[in-house]
Amino acid sequence: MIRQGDGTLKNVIYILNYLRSYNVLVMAVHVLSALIALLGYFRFIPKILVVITGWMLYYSAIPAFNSGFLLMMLFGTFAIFMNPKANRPSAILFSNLAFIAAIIQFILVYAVAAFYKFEGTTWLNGTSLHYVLYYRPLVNEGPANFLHQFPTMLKVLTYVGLGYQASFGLLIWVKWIKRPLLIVGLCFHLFIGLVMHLWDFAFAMIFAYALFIDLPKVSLDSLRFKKLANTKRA
Amino acid sequence: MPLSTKTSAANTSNKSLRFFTLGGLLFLLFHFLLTLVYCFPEKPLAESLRQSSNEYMVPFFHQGWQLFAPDVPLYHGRVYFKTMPASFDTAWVPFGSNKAVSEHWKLNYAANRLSLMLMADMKKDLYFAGDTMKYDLVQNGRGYLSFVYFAGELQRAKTGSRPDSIQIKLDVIYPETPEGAPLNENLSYIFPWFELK
Repeated sequence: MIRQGDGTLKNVIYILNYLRSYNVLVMAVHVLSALIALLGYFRFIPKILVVITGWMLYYSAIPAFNSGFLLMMLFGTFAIFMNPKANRPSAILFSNLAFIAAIIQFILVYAVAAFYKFEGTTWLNGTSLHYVLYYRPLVNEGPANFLHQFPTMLKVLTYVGLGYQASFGLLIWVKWIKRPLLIVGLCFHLFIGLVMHLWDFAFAMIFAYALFIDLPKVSLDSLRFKKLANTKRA
Repeated sequence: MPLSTKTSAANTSNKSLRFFTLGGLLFLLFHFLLTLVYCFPEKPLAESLRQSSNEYMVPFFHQGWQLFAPDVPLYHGRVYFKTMPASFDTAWVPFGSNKAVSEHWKLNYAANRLSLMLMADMKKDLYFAGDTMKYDLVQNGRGYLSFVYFAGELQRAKTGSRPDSIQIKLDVIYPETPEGAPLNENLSYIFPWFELK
């Protein structure tokens, strides 16, 4: 439930609902800040600006955005604390905690989606993909008619999609499964992009897989007390 | 990767780092507990917890991951409008892909989201008085009013001025079942004219 909050900062987020003429300015600040943050200048300020202006744009045009944007905004918030060049132990700690938060957040996306799907009927009886292809606001008639010729495949893909989302949070930690799992996910989201034209959502999910690449390197070094103690003694 | 894996603990006591680590982990626990509460708005939970979760999550951590769940939509809506005075060539102008105004792909997406909102309002607020279908409650809802605003803006983009009144039509389209039978009969609703001035 979205509700306008109390307090100055919260109200700044909703300001574009009242001052539509500032849309372009806020959009310009958003894009510029994102570029500066990507180039690595001025540690915190551009990242904070990206998040604040992003939410301002979101709340001024909620129906124009989908969950992909929400996921990127959440990652943007965690990214404020991420710093690959950190040297101070506290900065390393915050960076690692933010990274862990992003991983948990992403796993939560699939887990919550799967949980809700198990409460429905079309996912459990394998007809979801059949009905999605009839959803004309997102799916064109041509590809839908072609895919409807293969009902068994649609049923299998429905179960694969459900199983993928339900098991992602567990299987991603199994070293030998991780790569095929991410490839299946890549195909799953490319399918969403190609057939449903939800490219922003598809790319948001695909880009988020970067969190799981080189997973062995994601050590919780700043959380390892013994190792830190040894380093200090040396 | 943005993750820093350096282990240097120089100039910082192990004890204070341990304190911050514990604090950080506890904060993550707190954050994701409230996130879970927020992600399941209809689950029975203490009202105070629900309220705290809403306060904490909105606006900066707002999220929802139902993603075609619990079921994919079993119908979709097509919304059209008419204006007075008329400014478009056709009587019923479709929202969404509208070459008369803009071909921006987000228009179609936004129109779809608003039609879902309108249909949810209609499920809740449409009623009969005798044999007459009454739209007044729906016409006070966010879905309908968003379309009225949307139609006014589309006309303004085309002509430079807003119309005096707007009429909305909603077609509800049902798909075929996997066996090839129609899931339901398609429906059409024409709302009363809405005066803007």
